[in-house]
Amino acid sequence: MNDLSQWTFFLVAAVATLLPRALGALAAGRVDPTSRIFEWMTCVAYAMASGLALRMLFYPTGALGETLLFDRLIAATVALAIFFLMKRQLLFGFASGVLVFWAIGFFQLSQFG
Amino acid sequence: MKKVFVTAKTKHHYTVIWNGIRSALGVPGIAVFSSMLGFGALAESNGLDLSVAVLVTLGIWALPGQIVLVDLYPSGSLTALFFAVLFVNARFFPLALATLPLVKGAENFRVLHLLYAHLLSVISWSHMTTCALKIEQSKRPVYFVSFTTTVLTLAGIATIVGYIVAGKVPYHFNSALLIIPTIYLLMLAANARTLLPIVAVLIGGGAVVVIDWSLPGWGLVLGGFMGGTLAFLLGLRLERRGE
Repeated sequence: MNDLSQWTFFLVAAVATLLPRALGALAAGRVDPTSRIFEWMTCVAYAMASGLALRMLFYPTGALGETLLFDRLIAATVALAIFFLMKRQLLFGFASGVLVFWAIGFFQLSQFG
Repeated sequence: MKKVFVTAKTKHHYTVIWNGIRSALGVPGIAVFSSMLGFGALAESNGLDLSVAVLVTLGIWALPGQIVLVDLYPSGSLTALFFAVLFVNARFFPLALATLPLVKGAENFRVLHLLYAHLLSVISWSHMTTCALKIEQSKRPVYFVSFTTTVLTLAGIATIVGYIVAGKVPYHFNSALLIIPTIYLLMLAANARTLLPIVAVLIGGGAVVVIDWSLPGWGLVLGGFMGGTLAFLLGLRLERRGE
């Protein structure tokens, strides 16, 4: 496990979050929020969200790493399928993915103890 | 802050506060509560203290950034953490630019606006974008603060509940809690609707996984930055061709 203090981790992450928020507050009303540079920021944020999701699916840390990759992939596939089938309803996709993963765990427990 | 509560001391403002709380307790509250339950469980599983986990929710207040922290904590690079959180939360800059004028009106910058920026989240941005025009300008700050603090309080409570419950419930419940942040991020990525974000999701996802495989701990920062930039440039070219 990490030797660095958890508080140091929190402080570094808090500063990294405060920066864009504070800049936004300072510049609000003076800078056009539809500028192309913000599209680039959105692209980076989307790239990281999808990368982090895939990273956690394929190389999870902590107790999630004890679950099977195949089970995680089934949950992810169901979540995406329901999301698109239900005309992009986020809550439906989210809930179905989590429920399927719970059901897989429940089924395995009842089958194999 | 002081002004918010001073001006709130009229019966009419109490109604505005109550309306903000009531709106937050609907779908926004359910969405935040369920996703933060998973964050609490993940924080427990990756070795964070309960106090730090709650502080992360209240002090960062952006789930992707919080997940980055918990995910990178075991590997332990502060530089990678700083840039990963900065990049994933950089969207708060345009989000604050777009939302704060709706809340504060034409008022010049005041320190109080930093608090508004901190309370801001994707949920409050989308809520304010659809609801702000129905609320009188002078009452919007009170409404915004009551809405966002209610959602943030729910997030704090959910983090505590998720943290305490994790590890104490049967395996299937625990694993369902732990998969929540992954599915949340997946939904966030799948919700990309325009060309540039869609290309970013596809290229960025692959770049993070490939770079992380060869350079553990740095895949997220480098893959996100390079994948996002490449997608932006490629998307621009595709757009120009389409014109």
